[in-house]
Amino acid sequence: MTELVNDRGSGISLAGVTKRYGDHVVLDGIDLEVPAGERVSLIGPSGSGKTTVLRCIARLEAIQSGSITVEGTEVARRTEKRTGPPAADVAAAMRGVGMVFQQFNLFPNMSVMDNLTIAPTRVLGLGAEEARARAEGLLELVGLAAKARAYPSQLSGGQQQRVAIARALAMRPSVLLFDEVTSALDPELVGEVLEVIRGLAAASDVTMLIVTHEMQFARDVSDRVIYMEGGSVVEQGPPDAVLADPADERTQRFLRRLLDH
Amino acid sequence: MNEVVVRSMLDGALVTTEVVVLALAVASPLALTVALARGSRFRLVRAIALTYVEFLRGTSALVQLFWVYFVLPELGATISSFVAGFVVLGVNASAYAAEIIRGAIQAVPAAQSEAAQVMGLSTATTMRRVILPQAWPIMLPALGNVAIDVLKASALVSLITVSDFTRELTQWATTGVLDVTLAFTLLLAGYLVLSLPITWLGHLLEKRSRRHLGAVA
Repeated sequence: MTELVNDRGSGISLAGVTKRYGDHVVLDGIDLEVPAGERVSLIGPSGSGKTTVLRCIARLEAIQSGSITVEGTEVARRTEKRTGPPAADVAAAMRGVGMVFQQFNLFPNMSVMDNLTIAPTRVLGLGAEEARARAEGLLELVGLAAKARAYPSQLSGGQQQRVAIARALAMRPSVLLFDEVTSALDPELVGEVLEVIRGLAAASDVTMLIVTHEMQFARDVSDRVIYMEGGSVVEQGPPDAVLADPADERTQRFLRRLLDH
Repeated sequence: MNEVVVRSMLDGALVTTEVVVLALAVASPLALTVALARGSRFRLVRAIALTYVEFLRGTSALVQLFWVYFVLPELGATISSFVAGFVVLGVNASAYAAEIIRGAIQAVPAAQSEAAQVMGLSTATTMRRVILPQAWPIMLPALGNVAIDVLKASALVSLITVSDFTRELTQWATTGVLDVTLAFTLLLAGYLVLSLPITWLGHLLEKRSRRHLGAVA
């Protein structure tokens, strides 16, 4: 299992990151340090900016101020300093970042096997055989060894999401971003996906940043839970502290509302 | 109907088929190039592509054909009526097809490009392996219509002396060899028959293109 992920590790760092859509502030100068190997869950009401944090780290969103560092390389910046690292260095650092999406986003025109091998062959330059062997190992890990030749449309949502996790792992990332990965699933399929992530957390030292509404899961898998609201970090700490005994009134209100449902 | 007339009809139908096939061969790479250029990150490239599309859609295909056939020689470039015919029809169709391809590309969910980007795939690989294969079934029905439009518009080449299906039959009608009603009814029926393989091919490609996509796209 040690060869699952790269251990280049210095984690992720956000310094004063602001994200705006027009006048609407989504991230309000947020600071966040995630050391290598830590598992952090981001919780909070919708619109709190937690998904945007992941999208900014993945460079799917431009930021308006601040800087984001991944594995020691500044990958996004809007600061006074004029020059950032070369694009090749940014690309190299980003190769260490994998992301799993709420809607899976598998490529429907490719078999499961091709979904898993395209990036390792195209981006890492792996040979076809090596990429295939790696993919087979990962499919076994997520319990879908028999589905290599299937197409995404032939799989259940839970299976698709497990394939998506395997696809992210195929790049041997040191950082994994999970964006509400069970929110689009039927309730009975949530467990199998969370089980895979739990197993991954137990068996590897990959850095994880998890946006989730599954509080029990956040509690089990995280070293730290961060409660966000209005684009800022309201409260953070060990899961037992934040989830069972929150200090801030806003966190209390959020958790109470969850329990009411 | 004597044998000479039948032979000339078949020859004309063959010429029409050649003009259409060659026009589509000209149109396909042009349309894809222009569609991609319309989405370029460089403003100048986008502007050139937009001008190309608007110019071709905003001027008459017949006038374009006359211009190439009658004006180009004045400028020192002689071109055979046959070549002028399929090139102009192809270039003209490429403008319409480019817009269809561009629309289909935009119809592929942005999340697909995002997933590819996070995986580190280059823009070119993403387009070729992820976006275009998913845009293909979306664009096919409309591209089939363009192909049929090319067939119908191909009758215009008869006006620059290409001996296509239309020219052959109208000649027999105007010279009194064929009854006018019969000649033009044969023309109508002939184009319908020629359009059937295009329709059939379109359906076949559509069916094939969707076989793995399930409910998606």
